[in-house]
Amino acid sequence: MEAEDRSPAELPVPVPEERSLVERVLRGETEAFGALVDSHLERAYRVAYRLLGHREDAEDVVQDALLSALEKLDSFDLERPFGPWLQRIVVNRALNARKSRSLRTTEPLPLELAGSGRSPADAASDAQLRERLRSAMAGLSETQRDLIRLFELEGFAGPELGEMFDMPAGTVRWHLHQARKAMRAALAPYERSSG
Amino acid sequence: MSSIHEHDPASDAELRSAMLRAEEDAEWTAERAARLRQGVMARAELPLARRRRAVVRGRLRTLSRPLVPLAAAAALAGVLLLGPRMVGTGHSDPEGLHFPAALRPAVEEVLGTRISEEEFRLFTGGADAELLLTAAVDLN
Repeated sequence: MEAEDRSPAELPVPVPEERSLVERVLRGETEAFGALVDSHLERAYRVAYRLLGHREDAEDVVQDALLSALEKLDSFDLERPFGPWLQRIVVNRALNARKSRSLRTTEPLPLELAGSGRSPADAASDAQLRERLRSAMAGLSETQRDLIRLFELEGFAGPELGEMFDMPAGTVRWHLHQARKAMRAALAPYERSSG
Repeated sequence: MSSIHEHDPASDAELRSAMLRAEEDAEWTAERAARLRQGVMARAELPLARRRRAVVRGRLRTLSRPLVPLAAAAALAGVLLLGPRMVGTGHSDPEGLHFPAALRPAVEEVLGTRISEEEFRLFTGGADAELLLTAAVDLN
């Protein structure tokens, strides 16, 4: 199995340039805020999207989170990296939105789009796989679903996820372990039939 | 089990690939990035302006501080309220200075008054400026 090496990841250390950007934003410099936004916008959006499953809702959450970060910036510890602090705000906002807003239903990607350029057999195989994974995901807790998506699909490391979800890294690893075990079990028959 | 507690699991490439096929893509496009950035920056204008204004106010406060010598204000307050008893008495015990409660508002108002060094000298006369300052600080 090809496995991406993501051995004990440390939390990112504060980048001096980023610290200087934050200090300038504290003074109200628009250009510096723009640079911070540029650095973190895509990751913030991807996190929000994975938690909400809807692109427009994810955009709304990201905007709110960035504005909230700007308002709360005085409480940010300059000795720490900015990214996880911001992502935590994004996660909190997204989880709140998921709870309190009547989010538009996630529209599943139509099969013909998902399978565009693929043979009917491949499209059917994808549909089967999708169904198996959805069913496996449904058996996970919300937290486990969020963590496995962000870990596998967006490449966040355990310590980062711990920071974002306000839980110890060991707890994150336990959730990931449980989620992967369930997902693996769901995939096994598919792998046997397709492999 | 120990690996669960000590290290991140390595990404499972097969699982990842299956999830990518099953889940919709976030579709991060240049158009979305531009729209999102524009929205954020537009909404950030006001909070950023508030921060700039706070910085300017802070600087003004710092700059104006030397123009409002606390010693002068304190002396003025002291002389106005206690002068007759203080000037020339050689009083040197700050603990001994007590502003009557009824006069507090007036004293506090005087403490906020801007006076020049010349006025300060005029008002303090021979009083102990350091003593008056201490009394005023205590009052605050």
